[in-house]
Amino acid sequence: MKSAGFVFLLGLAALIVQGAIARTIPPPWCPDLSWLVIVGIGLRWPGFLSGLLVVVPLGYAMDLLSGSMMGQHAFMRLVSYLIAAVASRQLDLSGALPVSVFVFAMTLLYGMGIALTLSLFSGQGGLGAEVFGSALAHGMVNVIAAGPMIALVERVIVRFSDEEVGRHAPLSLGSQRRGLG
Amino acid sequence: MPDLLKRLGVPLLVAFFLLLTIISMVADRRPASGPERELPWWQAIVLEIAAPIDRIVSAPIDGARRFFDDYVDLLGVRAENRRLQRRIAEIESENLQFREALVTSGRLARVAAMRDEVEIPMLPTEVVGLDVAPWFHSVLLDRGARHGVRPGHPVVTWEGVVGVVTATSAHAAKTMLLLDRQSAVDALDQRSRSRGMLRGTGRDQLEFEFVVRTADVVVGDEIVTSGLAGVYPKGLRLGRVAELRDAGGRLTRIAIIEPAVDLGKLEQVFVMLRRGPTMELLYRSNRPEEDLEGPVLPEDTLDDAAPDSASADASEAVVGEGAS
Repeated sequence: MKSAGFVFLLGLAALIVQGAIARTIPPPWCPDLSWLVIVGIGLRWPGFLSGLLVVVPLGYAMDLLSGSMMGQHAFMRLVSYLIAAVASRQLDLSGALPVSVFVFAMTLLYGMGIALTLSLFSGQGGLGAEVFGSALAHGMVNVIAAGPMIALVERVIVRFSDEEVGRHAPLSLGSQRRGLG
Repeated sequence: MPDLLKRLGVPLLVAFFLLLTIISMVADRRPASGPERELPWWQAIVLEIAAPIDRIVSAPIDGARRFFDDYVDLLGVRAENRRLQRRIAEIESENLQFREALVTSGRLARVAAMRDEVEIPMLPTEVVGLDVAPWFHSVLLDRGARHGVRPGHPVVTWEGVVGVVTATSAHAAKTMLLLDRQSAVDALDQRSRSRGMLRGTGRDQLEFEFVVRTADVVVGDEIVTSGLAGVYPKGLRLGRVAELRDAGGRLTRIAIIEPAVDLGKLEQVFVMLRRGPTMELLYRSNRPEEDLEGPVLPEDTLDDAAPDSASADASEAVVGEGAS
């Protein structure tokens, strides 16, 4: 519980600091540090449920500081967390290269998801070359920042938790449990 | 039963959270019937925490940048001074001619009286945070409801329009920039008076969609606010026409506009403490007495702030802006 609180504070701090950094390094060249914390939670957090409870409020906090619809980042961050949590239990994402590829692909997916939800709920935008271009650039920057941010999440979990980091219990997802375990 | 709950607990919780976020998005698209955008305390607290921390984090970076900018500015200050002195002389001469024309037409006194009526109080405020997601364009300001800032207030710099306030807490305000895909402003070509809609594209440029395909718009024209949508006062600079394009078989044409303000380098901006009738409908308050209080709102805008009279006032305000 203590580690959940500290990881939440880390996510919140990353969210606030990245807003100030973005004034000097404008998007898409500024990494989404708070999203990387969420991906880090998905990849390294030992408990699925407690991770879920940390991710949702962080997503809503991002919505409050961003120009998005309320719930848009929360939805996409929840999806990112679910994918990361499942992927970390199915694939070997312990090395730098697999994590980089994963973060890059997830950033592209995140950009597409934002464009699609915006188009669906507000009728604005949609998928276009500029969305793809922004996502590509943002993906590269996120890959650079991913290593230190995920390591930071790991350190916070190790520091405040007794559970072993990186060793994930099988997800309790009802009928799918056997397949994922 | 407990076994079933244990088995389905996590998938149900995941489904609940996914549904919650989707419902939040749907609810957010109905601002007129939904809750007001002056955020409840549990949402406002995020803005309240973020604004001062952002300011502290930005301070050393801003300091270093200002020092460098000041040094660079000093290098060309003599030439710039000479150029400005020449420009002042030209403008003074022009001003004299205009005054002369006004006096001869007997309208100077009326213009002076009108200025007091239409003057809008401006609140200087610092941009402390920028939207980090490249798909949205918004900024965080360090002034909020306590200083008289309300959702729907226009945000400007001396160069032109920046955007509009979309949500406030006590000491912070979130502002949607013109560049955002969700932004649309009723606009005019200053030279030909052709009217159209200026939309954000999510990129560094804006799109001006003409109402009439044959409208007289050429590269280099200044685009200003029309005042007709009731959000911005008439005549504020929005940008300059950079390129003309056909709108893919539609009846309208599109001009690509370079924004008047460099929206990537915002530092100090001004909030116009006035709200137009259109925004009044969008951000209708459940507690009208809250909108009416506060020393910063001018008396002539208080009637506009009452939600019951919003739609009735709309046509009058539009006429007023058009006339000014």
